[in-house]
Amino acid sequence: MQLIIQRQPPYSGQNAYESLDLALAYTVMDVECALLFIDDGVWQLLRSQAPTTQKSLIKNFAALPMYGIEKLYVERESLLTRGITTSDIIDNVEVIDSEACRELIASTRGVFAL
Amino acid sequence: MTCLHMVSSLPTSSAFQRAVKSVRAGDTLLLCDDAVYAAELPSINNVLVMQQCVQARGIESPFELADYQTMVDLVCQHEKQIQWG
Repeated sequence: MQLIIQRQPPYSGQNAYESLDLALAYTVMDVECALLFIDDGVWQLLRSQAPTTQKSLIKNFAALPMYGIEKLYVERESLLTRGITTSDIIDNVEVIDSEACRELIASTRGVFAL
Repeated sequence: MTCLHMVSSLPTSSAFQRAVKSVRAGDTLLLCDDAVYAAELPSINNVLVMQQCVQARGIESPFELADYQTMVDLVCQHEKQIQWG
């Protein structure tokens, strides 16, 4: 399995979209992949996002299971330090603690940090 | 799986702090560019710094120095690498 780590907030660059492209490219190649949101990457998951000039990230996230990407993880500590609660973020994301996060990174064959 | 963690931003950056936090037993942390300003990292056994980056900045580093050949060897010795930024 490949792991894509998101550390950057949305809408300040192409980072978030590029990681989605990467995730879809993996599935086209039949490679299993998961997404992990840590640090400022957790801002990408806010359900209240309503971009006017850019594509909506969360609509893309909602469509990921259709492409076979069902593993979305977020680190609890990163949410807490930013005052984000689990009800603020989109539904299909599993909240994991820091230790689980480290284990996920350690057990994955390839890791791509953005 | 052993991992080579590489980081090139300042020790005060979130990328650096995340890299330090992610290192597990058996892993190695390689500091490049602005990351070479780091002082002691007592929680990690294997820390190396790129010698060229230290020399360019005119500083002294408490860590073992690495050249490009060492970097290539490290990549080969570990099962995977993460570039934290």
